[in-house]
Amino acid sequence: MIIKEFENTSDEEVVKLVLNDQKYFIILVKRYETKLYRYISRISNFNDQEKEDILQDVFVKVYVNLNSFNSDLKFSSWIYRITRNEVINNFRKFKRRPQIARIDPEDDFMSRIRSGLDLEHEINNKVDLDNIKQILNEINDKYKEVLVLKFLEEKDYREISDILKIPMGTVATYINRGKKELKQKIKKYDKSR
Amino acid sequence: MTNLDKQILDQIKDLKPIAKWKFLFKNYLIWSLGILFLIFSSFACALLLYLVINNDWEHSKLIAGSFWDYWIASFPHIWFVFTVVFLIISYQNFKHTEKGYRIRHRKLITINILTILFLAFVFCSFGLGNAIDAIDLEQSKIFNQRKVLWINPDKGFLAGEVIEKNEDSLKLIDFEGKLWTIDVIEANITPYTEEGVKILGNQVSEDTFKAKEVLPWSRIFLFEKDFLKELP
Repeated sequence: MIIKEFENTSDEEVVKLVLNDQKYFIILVKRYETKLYRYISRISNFNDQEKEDILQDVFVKVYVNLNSFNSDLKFSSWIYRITRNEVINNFRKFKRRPQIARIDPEDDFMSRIRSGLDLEHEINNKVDLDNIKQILNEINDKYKEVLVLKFLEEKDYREISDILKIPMGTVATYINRGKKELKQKIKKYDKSR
Repeated sequence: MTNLDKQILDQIKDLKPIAKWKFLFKNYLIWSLGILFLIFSSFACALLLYLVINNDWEHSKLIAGSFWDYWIASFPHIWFVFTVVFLIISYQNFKHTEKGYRIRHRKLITINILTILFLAFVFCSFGLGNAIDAIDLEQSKIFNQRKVLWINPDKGFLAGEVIEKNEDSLKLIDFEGKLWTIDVIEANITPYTEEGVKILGNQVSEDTFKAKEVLPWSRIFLFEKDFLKELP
């Protein structure tokens, strides 16, 4: 009911409402739970229960720190940043390494990465989704993280900069380097077959 | 409502968002510390600038035997270290401000360094550097080695404050507080500020020094020009 009523209200407006009344928080939860669950899946290899626990912690942190949200930022950038930090905290807790754990076929990831990374020649039909996932897992974590945000989460440079707390110039550098590394690995993979 | 939604809402039920002032306070604190350490670094840099400008490089061989020995003995290393340490602390604070991450590290460091150099130049121009000459001799061993190097009458260097001027002599109190009579009959005297002088010459007796050259203790620096007073 409440979700429908505020369908066209911006996240930033909803934040103001939540600060006055907790009941509006469900709007943010509904808007972001699927996206964030998918994002956690993409950057980690936690099991379903662990991912749900992380997601819960993320929303609790979002609520508790709501007054620190700066409206110069997009709310989505802010909540993604909190999610990423929470995932990193859990990596430390469980002593795990970041992994590209899930790329859904419906993501249309292949075409996005082909055109976005200018890899038409490198990625042919012989290199399938599973191979790309494996290759992505082999590249440097910091480049991988930026590529996930750019091509899977479809964030722009400013948003990636705000999520990872790095300058936009560095985002561009990481994308270029990631792209280069990905190209090299795909070529190597192609030759080895 | 899904199970997850319910769990989230249950968890926050008894919670309240942290007050805005706490975040603002933290933010202002980081900014204030950044600015404070930027000023500290500028102070240290002003003293460094003053000491380097006034270091007696032209007499280095005479004082220490070689330029490098003189460099090691007289370069204000401590102020260089303070400048760099305060610069790093200031940079770390600015980097951790809300939007500090948006500026490239190299750019942020460059802005910090240029601001520090500019402020140091301004502080130095208004005479802040002279403050380092006011500290006592014991502290000067660490913070102002130049002062220590100029209490060497047996080697021909003496410095201090002129308390009386006559046509052929000066009364001078050196940095150890000892009173000297300086014979300036054959001396080449460069106009000096009232703060002090350095003298090259020979020790004649326990409290008499024959000057060959009388020089101002510190060089004038831009706006300090008004302090310059020539000998009658």
